[in-house]
Parts: sequence; C-alpha cells; structure tokens
Amino acid sequence: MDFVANLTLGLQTAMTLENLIYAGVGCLLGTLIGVLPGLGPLTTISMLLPFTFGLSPIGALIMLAGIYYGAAYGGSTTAILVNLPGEASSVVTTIDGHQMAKQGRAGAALAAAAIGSFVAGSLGVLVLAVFSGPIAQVAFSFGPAEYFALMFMGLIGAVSLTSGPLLKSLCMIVVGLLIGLVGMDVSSGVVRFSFGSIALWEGVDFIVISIGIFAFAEIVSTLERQKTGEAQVAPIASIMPTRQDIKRMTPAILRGSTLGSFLGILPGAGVSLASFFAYSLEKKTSKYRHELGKGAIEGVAGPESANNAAAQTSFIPTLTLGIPGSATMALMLGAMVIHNIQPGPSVVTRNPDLFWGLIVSMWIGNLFLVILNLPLIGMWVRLLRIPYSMLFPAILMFCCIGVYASSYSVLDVFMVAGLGAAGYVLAKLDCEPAPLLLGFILGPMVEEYFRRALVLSDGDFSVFVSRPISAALLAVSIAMLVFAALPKLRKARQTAFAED
Amino acid sequence: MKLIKALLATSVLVLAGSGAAYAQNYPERPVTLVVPFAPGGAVDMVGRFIADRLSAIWGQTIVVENIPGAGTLLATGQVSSASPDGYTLLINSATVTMRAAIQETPLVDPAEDLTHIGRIGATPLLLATSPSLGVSNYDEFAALAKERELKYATVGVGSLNQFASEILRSAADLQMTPVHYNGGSPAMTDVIGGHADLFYGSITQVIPHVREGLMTGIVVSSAERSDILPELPSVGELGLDDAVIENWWGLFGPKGMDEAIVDQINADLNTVLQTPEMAEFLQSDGARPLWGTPEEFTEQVKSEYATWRRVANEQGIRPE
Amino acid sequence: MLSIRSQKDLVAGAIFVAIGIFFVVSSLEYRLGTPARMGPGFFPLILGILLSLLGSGVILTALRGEPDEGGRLDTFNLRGLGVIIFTTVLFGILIQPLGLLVTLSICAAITSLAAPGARPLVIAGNVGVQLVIGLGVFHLLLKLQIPLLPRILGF
Repeated sequence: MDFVANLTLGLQTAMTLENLIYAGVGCLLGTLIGVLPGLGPLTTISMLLPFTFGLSPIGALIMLAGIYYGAAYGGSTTAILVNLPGEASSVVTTIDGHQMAKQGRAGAALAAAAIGSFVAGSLGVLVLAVFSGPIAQVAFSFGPAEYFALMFMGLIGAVSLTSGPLLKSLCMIVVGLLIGLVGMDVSSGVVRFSFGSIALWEGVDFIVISIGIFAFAEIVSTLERQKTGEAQVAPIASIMPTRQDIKRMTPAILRGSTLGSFLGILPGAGVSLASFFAYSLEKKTSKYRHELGKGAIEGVAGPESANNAAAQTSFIPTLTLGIPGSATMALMLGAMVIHNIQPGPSVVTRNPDLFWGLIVSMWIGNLFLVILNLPLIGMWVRLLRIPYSMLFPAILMFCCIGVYASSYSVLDVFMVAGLGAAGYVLAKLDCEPAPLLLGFILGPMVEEYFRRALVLSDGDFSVFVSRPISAALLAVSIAMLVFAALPKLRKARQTAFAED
Repeated sequence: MKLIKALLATSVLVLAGSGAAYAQNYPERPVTLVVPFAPGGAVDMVGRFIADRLSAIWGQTIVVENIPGAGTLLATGQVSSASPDGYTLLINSATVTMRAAIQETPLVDPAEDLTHIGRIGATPLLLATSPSLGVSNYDEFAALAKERELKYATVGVGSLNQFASEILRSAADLQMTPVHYNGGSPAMTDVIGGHADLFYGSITQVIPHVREGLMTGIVVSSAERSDILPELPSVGELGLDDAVIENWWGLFGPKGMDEAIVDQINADLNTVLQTPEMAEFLQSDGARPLWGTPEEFTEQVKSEYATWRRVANEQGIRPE
Repeated sequence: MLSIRSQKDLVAGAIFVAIGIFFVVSSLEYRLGTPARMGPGFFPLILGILLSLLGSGVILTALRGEPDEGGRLDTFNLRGLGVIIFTTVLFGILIQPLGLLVTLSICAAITSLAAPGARPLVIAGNVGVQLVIGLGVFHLLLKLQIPLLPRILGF
C-alpha cells in the first residue's frame, strides 16, 4: 500500500530541523493568540503572511497551520480559567470548564482539553490522510436544504446547553438569532437594523458579543461575590486529572472527535458548530449527562475534541477541492497560491511532498501542542491564585485591546460596554448566555440557507423533505424534540391519573 | 535600532529614487493600504504584492488593512473620509462602481468622492457551469437557458457576477435569475455540487476549478479570446458586444489629494506594473497589468459608473 | 399584589416581550416577499412574534405558583458595573488620540479602584504589569497597528 510510502515522504519533508522549528513557532504563537481575547487566527495569519514570503512553501504552510490549530486549542484556556470564550468554538467550554475551575479543578479541565485536543487532532489527521479524496465529495452533496436541516438540528440541540428552564433558553436562542440578523442581508442586499450606522452594515462581531455577555458579566459578578465574601475559587485539588477523570473523558473524547471530524469536512457548517453539536451529543449520550452544566469533565473533553478534530478536517475541502470553509481557510488557500501551489483535486498528485509533509507536520504540531501545554497547566492554574484585584484589570484591558484590534473600530469597544451591562442584567435574571451565542452564530446561516433553498426550488417547500440527507436530519431533529418533551408529557399523564 | 532603520530607509531610497524627481519627501511615515475584502482573495493578493513592491521603492512600511463588508463600500467610505495626505490608500476593483450604482443615494460616489491614482490590472470574466447541467459549449448553454430559467450564483446584490450575468442575459436573450451568496467560495461550491447552475466571475477566481474539471468553462467576457483559455469563445466574437465586461483593479485615495503626490504614486505604481514579476504574477491567472495616467483612470471610473447606474435601472438591480 | 413565583422570570419575560415587539415593529419596514423570493422582513417578523409569545410564556410561569426564594431579584453591584463600563468607554474614547500606553495607564488605574481594598501599591503594580504586557505582547510580538504614544508627539 502506498500509504506507508506517502507517510515516509511526509516524514522526510516535515522532519527537517527547519520545518520542526516552524511547526513549534506556529503552535506557540497560535496558543498565545488563542489565549488573548479578540485576536483570532485570521488576524494573526494575515499579519504574518508577508513574513512567510521568504520561507519555503512547506515551511510557510506548516507555520501558518500551527497558528491555526494552536489558536483552536488556546481559546479553551481563558474559557476555563476566567469564563472568557476567545473563539466561537470555546463558548461551550465555559459551561462546564469554568464550573470545574470554580471547584478547584481547573487543572483537570485544562488537561482534558489538551489531551482531548491531541487525540482528536491525531484522529483528524488520520482522516485527512486516509480519506481526504473520497470524503471531500461529501461537501458537494450538502446544498442549501441540507445545511438548513443541519442548522435546524443545531438549534434544537441548543436547548440542551443549559440546565435552566426550557422557555427561557428558547427565548435566549431567539434573541441570539435576532441579533445575528443585524447587518446586510445577503439574499436581498438590504441592510437591516443598522440604525443608520455604517459600522453595523456587516453586523455585530462575534467577539463583541462574547466578551460583553460572557467576560464582562463574569467580572462584575465575581467582584460582587468577593464583596459579599463568597470564596470564588475553591482550593486547587490536583493539577493533573485523576484516573476517574481519564476514565470518564475517554468516551467523550472519542465521540467528540468522530463528530468533529465529520463536521469539519462541510465547508458551509464551520468549525465553530462542532463544539456545540458535541455538547448536545454528550447531553444525549453520556453516562454522566445529569452532571453536565455543573462541572462535568465530559462537557470539556467532548466539545474540545470536536473542535480540534474539525479544525484538522476542515483542511480537506481547502486542500483537495480548493474550497475554503472559513475566512481563515480562505487565507490559507491564498497563502498556498502565493507560494505557487494551486489546491484542488490534483494537489495530491502534483505536490505530494507538500500534501504529505503538511499532514505529517500537522500531527507533529498536535504533539507539540500537548507537550507544550501540559506543563503550562501548572502555570495557568497558579494564575488563579493572583488576587482578583490584580487579575481583573488585566483581563479587562486585554479584552478592550482585543476588541479594538480585531477591527480597529471604536464603536465595537462601545458596544462591548453596552453588551456587558446587558449581560450582567441577564446573569442577574438567571438567563444563561450560551444559547444566545449559538443563536447568534446560527441566525444568519439558518435564514440564508432557508431562503436560498427556496429560491433554488422556486418556492417549493418540499425540497426540505424530498432530499434524503435533509429529510433525515430534520427527522432526527423532530425526534430530539419529541424525546425532550416526552418525560414531561408522561409526568403530566401520571399526575392526571393520580388525581383520578 | 532607529538609526539602523533610518539608514536602511535612505539606502533604499537612494537606490530606487535616483533619477526620479520627487516633489517632496513623501512618504515620511508608514502608509496604510486598505483592502476592501477579507484576506486571501485576488484583490488582497494583488494589494499585498503591490504594497510589497511600493514599500521597497519608498523605503517605508506599507500596512495592509483588510476592511471587508458592504460590497467594498465600507472600506471605500472609510477611505473617502480619511485625510487626503497620501497616507491612506485604497485598492478596489470594478465592484466599487457597481455596488454604488445600485443605491439610490450611494454611500460613497466612486467618481466624485475619491482621488483616482492609477490602474493596476484587468481580468475578463469566465462563465462556468455546473457539470450536472450537462452542457459543454456556449451553444448548448444558450439553448438550455432559452428553454428554462437558470440560477446563477453571485456574491451579492449589485456584484460583478450579477451585472455580468444580467448584461449577458439581456444581450443574448436568455432566462437567468440570481441566487446570492456570502462569497465566491460558497457560491462556487454550490455550482460544483449542482445546487446552482452557473457562476460568472473573474477568470482568476474561476479558472482553478475549471482546470480541475469541477466546473465547465463556457464563455469569456472579453471582446477577444483569452490567451490562457484559447479554446473558449469570447462574448465579442459571438456578436454580443453589449455583454463585454472586464473586471479591473485600481489604486484610490481620499478626494483632494495633492497632485504632486498622486503623480509620484502613479509613476512608482507604473514602474512596479512594468516589471516582469508583476506581469508574471497577474498573467498566471489570466489577468494582465494595466497602467495609465490618473486622468485616464478617472475617465474610466466615471464612464463605467454611469453605465452601471443605467444598467441597474434597466434590469432592476437594487436592494429589496 | 399578585403572588409572584419569580421576580427574576417576570422581569426576564418582560424584557423578551419588549425585544420581540421591537423587532416585529422594525421588521415591518422591510419587504416580506413570496416563498420563492422571501424578503428581508420575513425572518425577523416571524422571530419577533415567536419571541413575544415565548416571553409571554415566561411571564405566565413567573406569575403562577408559590413564591420561590431563588426567584427574588438580587441587588445590583452598580459600582463594579459602573467602573467597568466607564473604563471601557474611556478606552474607546482615548485609544485613537492618546495611543496604547497612555490609555492603558489611565484605564488600569481606574479599574483597580473598583476592587475592594485597592491600595496605591496595587494600582501602581497593575499599571506597570499592563504596560509591560501591552508593549511586549501586543506591540513587539504581535505587531498590532495601534499607535503607542499620543499622535501629537508625531508617531
């Protein structure tokens, strides 16, 4: 089988000292920007792109890829430690991860994220290596109807993100969907709800919402708890996960990796959805699902694995079809073109050294990440021992710099202030923010795919059920809804009988 | 450190500037080049290439800033209200004249609110269809498009794709209706997957997929055949003169820039455009360098903007 | 007064209904369209109605049943919130004219005041740490294009 020969070729390319250094530098930088709020891989890669002009194509790509998945991993650190999701994909990590940190188990949560990311990354790379050719075609079988059905399923699953009352979570999802509609409507070219501000033509930036509603609200709440004398962080139990932790997170990691590997292949779904879907999956299948939301390690391991697996497999459509699934992937594609590599179905045969070198170096990058981050956990956890009066001004200022630097827009900084106040009020009213975030991410996509599917079918609603993938996804969503409602119905009937 | 920087800067200036008469010491500090698209696209690549070369000539950093949104109007609006001191420049494509043309009162008037510094390059468009459509040449395509309404993918209302498709539809008497996407990649993915029927966009953007056999090349939007796709007919030779359209890139600044600075940037830009690397960079994807005076560029922007306002009215292209 | 199960839910429900009505009213200025060509007003209208209904549901459940201890409204930490909002807005106002270093110093000093037991030494420490990180990480390492010093000084 050529597989071994291909891997050998890849190893030869990736294992030069030079390329190893690029992979290491990329991972380090990626982790750093992942940890900093506001700055994403997109900003960093576009800033660093000119510096790669002088490098060899493979060296440049290895470094940029390192930044990309380093950032995908690094976002979880702040999510766990200070309830600040730096990327869309780490929103769900805050739910259980930050709870764990409050219980003094930040070390276990961070380790779960690191180990989960490594296992998932390895699996993702394996999928990329073995199946990239045939599997890429899946991307084309997903049209607007299929994507709509997938997003719909995500919305139904969003209900499971909270343990609070169903009605309030639903309200938060819809509020998120509505905020997501601000800006120019792709299908009609009309600008909606911009209130005359040109800066809102492109909608509200994700980072503005997540910093406002998560981070700011958290800072104010923590200050408040300190004032009333409630201890905010329990004494740190142990830095490394216990055997029980490892036993519990293994199935979650495997489930998350599988799900994430699949979602990453779809260019229209995006990596950010993978972690949300994985959390819903844990809520449905985990043995410890009743603990989710209260600091269960599955709630960190599953989504983090899914996120990292998707980050790996999202290279499949980019590399083998020339179709980038996200702005960051579009930039990677641009970087390849600059270095005279034209991605597409024939890239594997035309540039085998590049293709296999990149794949092997991705795995090496994942290894670097785990080697780099496991020792760092001790340092991160110690960070929590810094008095909050010194920690929070720094968090606040990093947020401000991050928001400002992500688009150099002062209006964004003002919006964060306003949303911070809103987020604090919502927290006071026991409205959990994660469903709002998911609604915000899915909102524009749901609408766009729904309307596009109808344009393409000339207004015929049957497209959603006549296409097999779409029909199957919608059927699953409805089944999920029924199963969610069943226990309540049964209970109602039982009480009715009891009263008879 | 600073001294070394200054020394480096002067040495580059001496090398590059010998012989050229500079009106003043422009540029004395870093220049910002605004790109109205997300990083990674054709305009971004051209912009970064030009920035790299111009900064070598000027001995000054050129900071490339991506401000995507509102079909380039967001960035264009911001640049038009910046100080016209030559330190904020904009690269934009023909899109700017189209997106403004569909608005009743444009956010920014590309003919009046900007200084036109110089043209950079131009590329014809390539119409490519989904393989599932089962057509392999223009005649088959036209026959099908007369028989039933085809769905063309665009990157938004008032985009280059929509104008190109609409003028072809009207000139060749075809039936086509737009489906709007959030960018070229999702639009082409749906065409490749057979969900939408065709995509009519810059050769640079479409040709990789045609070469890979993922889409079928049908016709090129220029008057003559393209050098890199000689087997495909052009709309010109099919007698559809009204459907000839080309995408271009040009360098802009805020309105009211100093003439001496405009002339200097234009001269340096033309120097870059006439280098073999620049030609190679553009030609590999079917584009070509296009240089000229600021006045020629102003004329082109004015006349195209007027044309697209007329077409937008005739074809009913507007946000609604 | 009615017996209120949860003051929190009552307020939350009212906020949801208000947001819903706001979107319903504002979406009326956009075209609704047909199924084949749905207008920009259709989705926000449906979502606005949905939110108003769901919010009303939250209000109804808040009113029914025995008063719930966890549902009582807490007091708000207005000082903490105020300082944070104020600093953020100040950051937005100052960053362009004054540059990163000056803005950071001012804002870090003000936020330090919000924590209980702020001492001059802590404040000075905060300012110092942030200046070092601001300079080292954001400027030198990531090369962000934020000017360091006030514009007047010619940077």
